[in-house]
Amino acid sequence: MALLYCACAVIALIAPLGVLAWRSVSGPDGGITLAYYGRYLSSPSLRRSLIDTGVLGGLAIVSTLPLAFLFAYGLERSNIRLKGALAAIGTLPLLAPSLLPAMALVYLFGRQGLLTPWLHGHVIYGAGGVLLAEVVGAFPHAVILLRTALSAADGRLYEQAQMLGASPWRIFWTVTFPAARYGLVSAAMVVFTLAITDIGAPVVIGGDFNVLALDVYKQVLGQQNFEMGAVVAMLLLAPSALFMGLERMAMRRQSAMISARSTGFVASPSRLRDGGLWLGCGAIALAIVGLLAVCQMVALVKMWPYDLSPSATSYDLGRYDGGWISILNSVELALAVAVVGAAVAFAGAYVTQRTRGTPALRHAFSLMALLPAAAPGLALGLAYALFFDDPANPFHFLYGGFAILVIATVTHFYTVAHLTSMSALKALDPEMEPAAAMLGRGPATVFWRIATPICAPALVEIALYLFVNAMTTVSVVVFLYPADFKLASVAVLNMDDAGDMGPAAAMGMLIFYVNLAVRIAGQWGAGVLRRRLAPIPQASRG
Amino acid sequence: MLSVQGLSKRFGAAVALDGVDLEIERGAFTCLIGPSGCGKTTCLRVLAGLEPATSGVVLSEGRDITGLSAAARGVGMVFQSYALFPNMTVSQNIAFGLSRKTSPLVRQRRVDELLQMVGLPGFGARRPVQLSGGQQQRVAIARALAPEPRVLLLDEPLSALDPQVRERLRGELKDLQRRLGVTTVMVTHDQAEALAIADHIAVMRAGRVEQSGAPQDIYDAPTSAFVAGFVGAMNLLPARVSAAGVVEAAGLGSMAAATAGFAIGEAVQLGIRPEAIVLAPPGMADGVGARIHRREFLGAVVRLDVLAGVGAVPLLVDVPAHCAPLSDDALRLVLPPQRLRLFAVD
Ligand SMILES: Nc1ncnc2c1ncn2[C@@H]1O[C@H](COP(=O)(O)OP(=O)(O)O)[C@@H](O)[C@H]1O
Ligand SMILES: [Mg+2]
Repeated sequence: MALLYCACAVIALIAPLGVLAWRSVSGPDGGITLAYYGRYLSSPSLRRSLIDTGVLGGLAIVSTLPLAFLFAYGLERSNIRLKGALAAIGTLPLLAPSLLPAMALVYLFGRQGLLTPWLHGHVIYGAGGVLLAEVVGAFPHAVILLRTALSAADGRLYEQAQMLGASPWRIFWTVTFPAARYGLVSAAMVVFTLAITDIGAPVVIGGDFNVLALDVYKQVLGQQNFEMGAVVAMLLLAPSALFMGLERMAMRRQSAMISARSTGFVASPSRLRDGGLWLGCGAIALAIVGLLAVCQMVALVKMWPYDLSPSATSYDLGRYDGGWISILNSVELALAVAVVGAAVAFAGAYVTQRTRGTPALRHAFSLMALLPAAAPGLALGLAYALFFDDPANPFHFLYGGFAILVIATVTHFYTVAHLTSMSALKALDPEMEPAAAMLGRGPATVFWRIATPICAPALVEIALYLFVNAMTTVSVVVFLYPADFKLASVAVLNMDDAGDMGPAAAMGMLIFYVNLAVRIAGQWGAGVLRRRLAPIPQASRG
Repeated sequence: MLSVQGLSKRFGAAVALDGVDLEIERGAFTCLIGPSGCGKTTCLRVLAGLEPATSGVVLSEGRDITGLSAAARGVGMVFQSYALFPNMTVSQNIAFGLSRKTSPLVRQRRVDELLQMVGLPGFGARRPVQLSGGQQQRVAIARALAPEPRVLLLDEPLSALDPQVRERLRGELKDLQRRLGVTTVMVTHDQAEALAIADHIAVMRAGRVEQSGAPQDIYDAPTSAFVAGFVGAMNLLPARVSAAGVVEAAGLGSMAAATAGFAIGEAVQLGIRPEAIVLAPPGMADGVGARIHRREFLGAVVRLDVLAGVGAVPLLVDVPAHCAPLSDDALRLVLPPQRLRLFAVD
């Protein structure tokens, strides 16, 4: 089994990335050359985008972290009201394609934006707009990581500090902040990687502002220059890999900080603090809901922003290439990715963690399973295009089909699915397999009859994560989808590009609603499964 | 019936078992004891067939079963954590190892019978989390017994329980074992537990069996200072054989002891149990002088921590509570020669 998993990992990840790296250095005569890198770095406009990408990532960190920290702090360390609603709203951007916040900003502050007059002659296109859109997109990811870091507070430290007479301000800087530092580092790495690898926002709102991701996109789709595309993808891959590596290290430190004897933290009542936090968190939540509401309004009016009378013409999606079918296609892909991905990742985690043969292979696979997090979607997509397009490749038959979309998407989001499975399985007594073996049952029985039922809630959550991401992703699939199988997220991009504002907004919001419905249903299902594992109620005790 | 010969087990460079020889009698309750990390669990897992041995053989009724799988050995095992399947009810747990070919009705009857046997009738529909530690342990035993194994292996089945529950359950465990007559091997690091319930004890140390025998023999006639110190309390003093039948204990002086097997002039360890030391009646000039340094009231006995002889050698002395000296004044101790034991220095 471990061998099978390693083989799959090589075909689905290592080999394509290897081909990507190879193509970026192989000259027309078959030798190795750095000419493409030279050409890239000597072109002033391309060099400019390399620098701009770095600056964008840095600014995204600086702007996202304070907001996310405030939000997470409000949810974890205060007594503000409506925490549940705020927390749910904070994660809403995850359900929409990354283009959507950028589109909303254009509707508000673009050339024909509703609020553009407020900008006194400026428009939002360019670096500022991209940055804003990236902040919205990365915000939920940062909040999730920071909430984990802040929720792991050790109540005993606070009691100790209070008994020593430290002021709240001093306690914040000497206890709270250091305890959350690894969470902050890991959030910073994730925000940076998301910001530099996103393709949606730069296309929609970038204007003349160029970034590496956009270069890959243009080189490949615009100029059919795969070699240059590969070069840029490699340049994009290096920092992502580095930063995701640092992120893993920070995560490990973070989890080591929660000692077994930590006690929970209960926020003391403080009106001033709670009032301030409520205002801050409320404003952020309002902004998120506002951006989504704007998109929905654009889809429902006759001619934004000139004629705001209601109209359903934007929903006449059949007129556009792809149209309604593309939503169905996306749902079909997302379902396949969710089911296949959750099953494969869970079984893979079971094999790596709980079987005993072939330790070297299992170790190799557990390392390879961490790699996808380091590979930007565009780089992976391009790598697939290069690898499977080659007629000499025995897997060439997959190219241009549904299967390759599923494989690429599962691979792209594999790391989270793998790690979630691993931690769910870790909660299982390590003596389950020996106990079953003593009763004449092998690991397969333990997998089906014990591990799977116990981890069912986690499996549902993994499937949810995969579904939502498969619905919204553009970068992995943009080079891979076949002409007769248009996807909704790509359709949004194309419609927006063609200036069809209303339909693009309508389609984007449809993706959002599908995801919202699936998430509500999925979380309800996970809750039911969790209750089923809880103790059976007893009518009579004794 | 079960016999282990020259069993060794290495994990990479670490040696967990280093030539274990063991005879397990049919129908007996055998305890493997020893300090933490001495290889008890590993020995049990090799017996169970969960772990392949590096070398050595396991024989069952003279038949070599070293290569057989866990399931094929007819052995049941209760794990330290009990390893009950949390998603299944008590009944489903117990039925897990029953043959899938038997009818549900027969299976249910067997489950009920086992629940009755371990004293948990009517608990079949519960989940493991709804049971106390002691109840979980009994479910684990029922599950292990379900396929009617010839040997039952238990790895520290009592260590996860409260001290009071532990004492009650060890009695019940012994009763159950005697009633069923199933050959049982139990691992424990608690020597008192082993002395209380075992028919046969094997003391392990660093991957070997240091001594094995009936509890009373191990207690009365330990063959090494290690076993003497591990099983029950033992005063161990550095000494030297000064002549045949005479030893010179450092700080205490010469005394009579059986020195057979030791050369004259050889350094030895002199051992005597706290309860074997006798207080000389007042006014007698026998024995060595001592004064009480500290006393511990243990209920039936008082344990005196005394400093004895010219060298103020620390000794433990147990006396029945009703004859404990009232004052901490000087007293005289007699070390009966027949209760002194000599051990080689290791
Ligand atoms: N799976 C394993 N891998 C490596 N070393 C092991 C393994 N299992 C046990 N050991 C080592 O073998 C020795 C004996 O372990 P064990 O049988 O568990 O001792 P006990 O049960 O007596 O406490 C220990 O030093 C332990 O570290
Ligand atoms: Mg052990």
